[in-house]
Amino acid sequence: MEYCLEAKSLCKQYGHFKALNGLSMRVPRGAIYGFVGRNGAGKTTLLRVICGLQKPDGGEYLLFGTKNESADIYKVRRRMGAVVETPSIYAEMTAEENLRMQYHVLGLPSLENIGELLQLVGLSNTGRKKARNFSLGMRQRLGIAVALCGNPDFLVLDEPVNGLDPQGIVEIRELILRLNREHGITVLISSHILDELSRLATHYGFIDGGTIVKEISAEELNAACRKCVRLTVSDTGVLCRVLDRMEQEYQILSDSEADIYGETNISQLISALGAEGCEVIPLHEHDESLESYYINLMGGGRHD
Amino acid sequence: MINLLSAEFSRLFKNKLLWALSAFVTGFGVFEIVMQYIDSRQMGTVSYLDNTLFAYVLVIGGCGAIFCSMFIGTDYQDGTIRNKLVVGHRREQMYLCTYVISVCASVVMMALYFAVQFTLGIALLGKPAMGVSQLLVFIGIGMLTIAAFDAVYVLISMLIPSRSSAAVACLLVFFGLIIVAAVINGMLDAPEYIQEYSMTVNGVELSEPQPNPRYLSGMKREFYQFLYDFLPTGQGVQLVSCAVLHPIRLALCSLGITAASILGGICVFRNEDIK
Repeated sequence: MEYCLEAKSLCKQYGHFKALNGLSMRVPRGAIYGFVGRNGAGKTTLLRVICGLQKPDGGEYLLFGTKNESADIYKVRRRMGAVVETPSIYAEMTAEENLRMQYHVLGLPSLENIGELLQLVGLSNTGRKKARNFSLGMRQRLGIAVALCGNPDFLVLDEPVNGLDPQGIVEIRELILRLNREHGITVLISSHILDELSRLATHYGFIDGGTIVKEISAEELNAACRKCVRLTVSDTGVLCRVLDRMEQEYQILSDSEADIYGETNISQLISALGAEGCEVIPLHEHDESLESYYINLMGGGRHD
Repeated sequence: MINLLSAEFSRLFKNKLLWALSAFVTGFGVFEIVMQYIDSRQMGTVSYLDNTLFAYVLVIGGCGAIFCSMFIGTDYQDGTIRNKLVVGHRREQMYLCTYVISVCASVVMMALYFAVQFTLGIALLGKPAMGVSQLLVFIGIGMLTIAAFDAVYVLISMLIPSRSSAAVACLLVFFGLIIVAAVINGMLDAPEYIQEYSMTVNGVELSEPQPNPRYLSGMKREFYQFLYDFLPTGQGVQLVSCAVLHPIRLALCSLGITAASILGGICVFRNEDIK
């Protein structure tokens, strides 16, 4: 498999605080890689390091197979675009002027595609309005447009939906999906909003304490997040006996709660429990989400 | 580097601060000429264009402190410095490009100042009294002095990411250097001998000339003279008063400050963490 980014034992320290502590990860080409972690876990530090804003104190990373210490890394960076933390745009310029600036920075000979780019991010009708008067969503989209100026193959987005209203979140999500599916751009997104990330990502990397705790593809995650029926009963002892008899896979969660995996004949189960004097109080289908997976993972229970 | 320069030039010429400062420098040039003209008419003395021609050095030196910190600080404040690094521009090139742009901004201000001096100035005060060769030497030294000022401001502004902090630091450096230059100027101007006045029945009498204890001599004088020649503000004061004693030394000092600031700045900026 080809990788846009490979990080190997990256370390970065601010004073005594280890922001990255031997972090290793791989972003496959064509993926939308969701980078998940709590505040201060090292997400933004990693993005700053791979974008060349900061130098790692140890380890190395490869962009499109080129090592960060290689002289060719500057050329390879031309294939990257990034919005790290806040959108990097001139507040006193219009959307078009901002894109013109980036075209100059990249040395692109023609400014023809600017209109197309503005249309892609939904900013084609902003006219003479300066970026400082843009809404947060508009600024975020303009930041992405600036990052897209050189037709990058790899787009790095740091918390792209932070602070956006629901409409803004949908717009950014659709834009990212369009960029990935229609333009084949690999996207690395860090986000706190796990529900939103789960609608986008094809791969996940979970970071904690400056280290990747787990890398997993969306398919693997879906397999790990199995559907189950969660029920609360008056006697889990009886429940265990009945489920063993029915050869059902299950997990006892507490004195009164249990998860039952696989196809379950509910009426048969309730009758069997009733026959042994066990009451079923509530019962509902439970679908483990990215959020619960993340909580379990960070709790240290399931690292494999 | 060419791409960066092209981008920064397009930003420079749209920058309102550049044109506001240029208007201020031009206005200052007009004010200087008019005041000289009025003085000469009222006093019945002859005023030369030389008196106003080089006042720009310190004015542009001060304006440069504001311009560099604000122009460079915008790149940090808006985060746009990241756009250049992410797409693979080398830090050395970014630093040099910023310096070139800052010098160009000063040249724009200087060109407008000279335009006023050589039009309105000649019309009201006549041609400069100094010869053409001396004039060119002074203009050259003035440009190098401004280039040295800009190198120091770029160093400060590139290493202090906060725009307001950088502006304060640049202005403090400028005014601090002005004060130091003024103090040194006062020390160097102290007369070698002093005479005391005393009132007697015969009127005012002068005592025998006595050696001035505040007069600098020997190595001490050499040191302070060198410091005066070395500091861009010291050079500015010398140019304003058209009293340049060591033109070559001044030029070499400016070049030295410029080179040291750029090299030092690049070394630090190369390893600086950008947020």
